[in-house]
Amino acid sequence: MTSIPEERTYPPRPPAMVRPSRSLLWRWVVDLIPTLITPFIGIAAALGLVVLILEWQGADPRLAWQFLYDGTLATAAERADLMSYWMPLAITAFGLVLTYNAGLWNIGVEGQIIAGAIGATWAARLFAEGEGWRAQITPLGHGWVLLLCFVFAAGAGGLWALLVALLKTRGGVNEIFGGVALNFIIQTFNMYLVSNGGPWQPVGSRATETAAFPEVARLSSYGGFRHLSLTPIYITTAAFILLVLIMYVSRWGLQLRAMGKNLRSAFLLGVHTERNVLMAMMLCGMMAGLAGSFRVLGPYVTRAKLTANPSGGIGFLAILVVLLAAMSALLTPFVSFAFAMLSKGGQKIESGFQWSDPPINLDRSLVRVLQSGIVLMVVLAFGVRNRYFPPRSAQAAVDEDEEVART
Amino acid sequence: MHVELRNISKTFGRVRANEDISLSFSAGRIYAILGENGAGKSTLMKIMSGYQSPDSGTILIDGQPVTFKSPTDAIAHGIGMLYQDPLDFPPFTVLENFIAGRPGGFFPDTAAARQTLISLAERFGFHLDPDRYVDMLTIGERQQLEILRLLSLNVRVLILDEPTTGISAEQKSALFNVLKSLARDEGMTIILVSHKLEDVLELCDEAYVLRRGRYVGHKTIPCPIGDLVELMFGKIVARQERPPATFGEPVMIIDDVCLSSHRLSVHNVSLTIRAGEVIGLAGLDGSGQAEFIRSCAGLLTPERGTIRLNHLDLTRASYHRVAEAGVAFLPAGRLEEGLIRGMTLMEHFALTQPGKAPWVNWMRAWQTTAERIQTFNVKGRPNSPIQTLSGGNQQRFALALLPENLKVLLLEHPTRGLDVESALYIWEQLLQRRASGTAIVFISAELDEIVAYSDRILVFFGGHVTLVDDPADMNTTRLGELIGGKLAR
Repeated sequence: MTSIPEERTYPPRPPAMVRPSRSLLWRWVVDLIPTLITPFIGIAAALGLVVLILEWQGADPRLAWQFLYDGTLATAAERADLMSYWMPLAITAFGLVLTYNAGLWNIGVEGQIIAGAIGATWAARLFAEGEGWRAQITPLGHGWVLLLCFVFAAGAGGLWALLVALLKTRGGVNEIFGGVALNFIIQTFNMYLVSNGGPWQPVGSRATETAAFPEVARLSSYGGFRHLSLTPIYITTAAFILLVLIMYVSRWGLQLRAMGKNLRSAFLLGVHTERNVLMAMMLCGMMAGLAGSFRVLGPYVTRAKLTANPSGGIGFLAILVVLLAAMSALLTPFVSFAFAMLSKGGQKIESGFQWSDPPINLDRSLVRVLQSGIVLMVVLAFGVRNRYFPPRSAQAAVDEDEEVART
Repeated sequence: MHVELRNISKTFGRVRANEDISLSFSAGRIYAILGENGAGKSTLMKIMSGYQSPDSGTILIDGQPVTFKSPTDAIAHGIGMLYQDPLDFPPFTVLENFIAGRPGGFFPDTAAARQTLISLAERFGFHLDPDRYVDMLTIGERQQLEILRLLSLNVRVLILDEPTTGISAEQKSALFNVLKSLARDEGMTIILVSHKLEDVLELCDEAYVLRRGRYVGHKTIPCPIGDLVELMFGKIVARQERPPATFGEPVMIIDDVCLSSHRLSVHNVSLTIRAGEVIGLAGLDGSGQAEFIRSCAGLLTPERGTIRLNHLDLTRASYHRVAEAGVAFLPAGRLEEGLIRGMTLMEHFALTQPGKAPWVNWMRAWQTTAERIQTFNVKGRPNSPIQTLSGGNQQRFALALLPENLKVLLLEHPTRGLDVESALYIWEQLLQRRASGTAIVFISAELDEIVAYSDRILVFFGGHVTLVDDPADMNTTRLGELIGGKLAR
């Protein structure tokens, strides 16, 4: 049997794998190529799936592509509509970039959008409709009412997200479970407000929605486009600039990324992790709340009222966007634009085939299949790549100097 | 049944968990596999019980080579392992747990299983109600259940991983009696994996000792406890002459501190640490050193007593508050606690550099990082992700990250897993800090490291503490007795 080693000596390692010394740039390029190709493999796989479904239904995929284009980019009016759909989706995704980088899976974002929609509606009722004691207040101007609507929306969304964060930090409830529960609660509360003689349903109405807001609480449309308002574009752009500053310039953004990669280490390195969880969630909720206000105050989606489904599922769609954008702040606008196009174009695909000859019944949810399919396939493609062709950065590499010393 | 391990090797990434280990186990005897945390004993036993497969080497049963595809496979060959955390299904009853994992049809024969369970329990004097739910049982009773289950599967070699953690004294003596009778009367082979010397001396006939993944020696018990300690920790090299250190004012005053975690309680520790002093914390793993050092760092609040830094009461202060006061803590698991996998060296610096500005000055961060990695001899570039560095470089980098002018520096296993050169370098850096007045408190599993660098030693045994004032005349026997708990009792 072996003798007792007295000292800490190790036998010489087997000769290191002979890796010819290549230039740094070359290595970087070699690493980059699969990173660039992988998402396209995923997208192609998802498109292939949808083409198969279309063929199976007897619909011509090229025609579907044509409808998609007609419904989104063909005319100025369609482009304006697309813009109005894109903005709330984008700003929600911006908020999620913050939480996802911090390792917080904010599934509750859907509820935070609804909370924002309710907040905006509440402000509109308080400051624009002027019932009861509110009639005594000097009527506020258009700008002030809208500002208050945005503040209430951001506040409501932020508080609803803060609740998830507090449940996590104080109550030990995982943010995914807390978010799902709060989504249900706010959806039910929204339903209560606008249905079956709820407090915000107009007397005598049977529609599950509030009355249309007065003119001072509506976002005004821009130019000749009935559905386009500039305010959400300004706010979303400002949110994007804020996001980029946070993620790439600020110390706080660095802390959030550190928390997402290793919460324990970040804490030990001096990051106030609990406070950052609360702040990141709240900021995300505020952005989602603003998205909710765009949806209810704008002239496009619900035409200035609170409906039974004010978010239209864009919260969940934004989750897919951020996953596909690999949580990158810079990629999010593009990916959210692509997804907005698919969602909006999907309606046109449905109606287009309905009136084609012969009529084909395609549901617009086919687009959802495509969207989720892309995300799934891209994530899968990256998973496969990391498993079988790991990039250099993912390997526990040998020090180059040691390698050099040994050869 | 005779089991032999021949030239077993297993590596995980860069870690050599087992290197060319050959051991042999005869029927009717009780063996101990001794070793400190990370010595490779768990890996070896997992290989022997079919949970993992070796990179190279063979297992022979009665001279015939065998390969295990799974633990079930190993049990079929007669080798069963009792894990440290009982592998049972708490929402089920004792009987249901007993049946689970037994070969049988889709509808198990409950009545027969009940009979087997009751008769086995009677034979060994265990009191197990078949209809009780497992989550109502103590750890000791769950162990008993698991042993009965393995015995009912006709296991001839029983491996027990740290079986005495978390069970009462009566349960322990009952367990030991059963194990002894299994070996003497039934000719079974019992293997106890442990770092508890007292258990080994009480129960076992022979001990195999592992250190840093290698087999280092064999002892027949009874033998002097110092011999086992020496095998486990390495020889104490004669301490080199050191320039007499001058200590400053007391910086950290720990007064009558009592701690408790789910594993053990630490009783009445009092210690005054002076500026520029090096204090080594010795003891078997899990004797209370980790709890003590974490309470100094503000990560574990003492139940009683006070911890003061100069005149600041830090007893109940948060970790960040303690850090602000000038105490730094470097935990053992570098990539789990302390460094962030996936971030570059520069990002680590940007994260930890103090500064009031809400933005990061990346230019300055790059420069500082480049300077520091040069000063601390870190082999890496500012934009290298931290996980691409070797262990020694990671540890050097972790030291480079610490703020300067610390009052107290707390370290857990500062040189674990490093080669001699890296370890020396780390200590050079630490001694420089000490020269500038920083007090250093460190845990180590290497006795020679503790004796070589400490001005005073605190020996932990089962939560009790003995202070050794002059490590210069410390010898193996005495330290061995302290660590093994002969004097602390």
